[in-house]
Amino acid sequence: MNAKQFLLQECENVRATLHDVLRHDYAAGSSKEFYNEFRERLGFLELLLKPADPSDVSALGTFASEVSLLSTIVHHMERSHSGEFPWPFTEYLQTLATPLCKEGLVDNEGEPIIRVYAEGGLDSYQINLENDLSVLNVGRRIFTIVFPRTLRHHVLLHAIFGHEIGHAAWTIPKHRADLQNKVLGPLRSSGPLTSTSQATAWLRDTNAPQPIVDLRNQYADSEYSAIKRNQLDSWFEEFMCDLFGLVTFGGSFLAAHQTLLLALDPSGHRWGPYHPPYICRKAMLWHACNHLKWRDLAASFSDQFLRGDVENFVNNYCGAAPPGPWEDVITAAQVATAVDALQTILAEAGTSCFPMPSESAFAPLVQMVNRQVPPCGSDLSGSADPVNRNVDFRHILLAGWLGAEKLAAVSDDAKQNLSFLQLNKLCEMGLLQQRAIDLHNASKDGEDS
Amino acid sequence: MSALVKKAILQNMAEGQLVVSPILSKRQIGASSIDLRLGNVFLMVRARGLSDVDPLRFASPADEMSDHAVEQARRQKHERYEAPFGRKFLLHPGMLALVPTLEWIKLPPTLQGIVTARSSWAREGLSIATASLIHPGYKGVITLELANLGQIPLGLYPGLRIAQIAFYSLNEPAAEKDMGSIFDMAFEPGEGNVARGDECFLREKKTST
Repeated sequence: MNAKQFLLQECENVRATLHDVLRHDYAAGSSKEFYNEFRERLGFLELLLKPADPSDVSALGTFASEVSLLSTIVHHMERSHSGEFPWPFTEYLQTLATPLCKEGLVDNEGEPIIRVYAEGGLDSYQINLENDLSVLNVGRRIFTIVFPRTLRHHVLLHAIFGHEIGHAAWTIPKHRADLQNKVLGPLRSSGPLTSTSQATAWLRDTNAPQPIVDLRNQYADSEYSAIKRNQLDSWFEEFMCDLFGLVTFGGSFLAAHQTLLLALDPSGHRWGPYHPPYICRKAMLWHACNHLKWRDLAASFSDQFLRGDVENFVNNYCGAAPPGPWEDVITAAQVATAVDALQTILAEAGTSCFPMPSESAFAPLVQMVNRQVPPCGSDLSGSADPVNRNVDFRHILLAGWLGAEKLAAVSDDAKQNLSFLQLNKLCEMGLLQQRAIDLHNASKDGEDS
Repeated sequence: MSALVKKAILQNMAEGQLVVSPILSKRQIGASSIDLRLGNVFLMVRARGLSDVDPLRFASPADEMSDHAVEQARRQKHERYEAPFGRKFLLHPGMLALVPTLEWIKLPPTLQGIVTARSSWAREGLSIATASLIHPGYKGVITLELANLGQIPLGLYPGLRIAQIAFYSLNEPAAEKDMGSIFDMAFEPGEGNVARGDECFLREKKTST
């Protein structure tokens, strides 16, 4: 069997697997879209492959990549069966990400096809948008959302997806130029990370914090001892995606970001080929929070308990100024320009930025969390004709995080206090109930509401 | 013990004693009950090589039966589906499925709840079951044990009203020590423990000779 024959066989194998996949429920929407998309791609691939010259190693290599990609995606679809990720959150996430990623390969009308599956590992959160299919160049892009399997119910941590939306947007040509010029441009316009030589000097600065000095010694003579061009590009993509997270998910992103990243790197000082030290990212987010007026949020509430809860939250997640000039690699003015540009780009794409909550909208959610009732727009007044409110799902997450802060602050009392997992499930339940409220309120029969 | 009428139910809710959340429509509130909607998780009993119900598994100490065997026996019994709104779930004749309510319920120490099927669904062959008493002080979703007693499959969709809960006032508040159960703070259906407290009946006594 030569390579061409084998590749044609593998197309058949992918088709057989595609049929097998129909045994399972799909992650999002109907299986029909996926099924038709794959049949079309497979058919087109076979059409191109059959007349190919068996000795044309270049063409066969390209076809091998394509069929391998299809095989991978079909396998992920198989793993995408129900129950490994939170439905209500996924649906809300789609409402944020889909407008931004709405770009077909053939025309701009096609929405991406969503697939969702779970992976192992704390750092497995991902949103990927399929790149151009150079050979097939047919159909619609496939948009992949990956949850960490063990964090299935941790909807509060899922706010980290705000960052991942940034990575997805970066792969879209029509956004990339704007992001490059209007967001990354200002971020990279000055400071110690503007060039590899400056960045390497910054890394070797004698005034760097002691953990950096220790790591530097540990990394001496390794590839981490100097900063390369690609590395710097990746680092700034991370900075930009952090701004995406804050702008789209608000405060719950800050909390999820800190919780997850410090779990992966408790010192917060490690750097790598793709990620800058956490402390530098946090310093940048501090400037962004100032610009977005997060520190003014508490003062806008009249209820003293709510004000106190919000103050605690803000102090914990965006209260600390950068510890020193070494960490503060991007200035307040640079960050402000980038944030403003990002908000404009998102608005033009139809992706809603995080709206600061009003007291009337937010206080009931916080009270529900305190009462251990799933937070949502449910009318608990005992009215015979209940009026349930449409609530932004990100406010539910923020209310949940305020509850999490209180949990962390009080001593253990198993009878009264929820675990962090239970609190997450409470909020997950709140998202489900909010989804029901949204659907019911939007229904046209008018019924009686 | 007396049943609460609509006015009393709403009064308890207004005072924050009773929570039924969310109530999507006024049609959900009856003369002396509140309709409950189907949640989005389905725990279906499945017959496979290792699935059975043996109380001994729950009661066995670790040295006789490993944790692995106990957990496996529990997990093998059910298949879990999670469906978004708008997706149909077919309950076939003879099938048993555990499903949560969409609503979160919180009862004060002075009330208990009784859950029954809505009559319109009962007429189609849907039985909602057995553990219909919700004890005072309970908070969480309610697990409904659905069985199809008819001859044809029943299509169920998350969000449908399929059950109803009535409330009864107790002659005095339940004592705190008597409230709470393994099902408190339930977010979705789970397995019960059919052996708890009855372990002494699960093994033959060895008589001395």
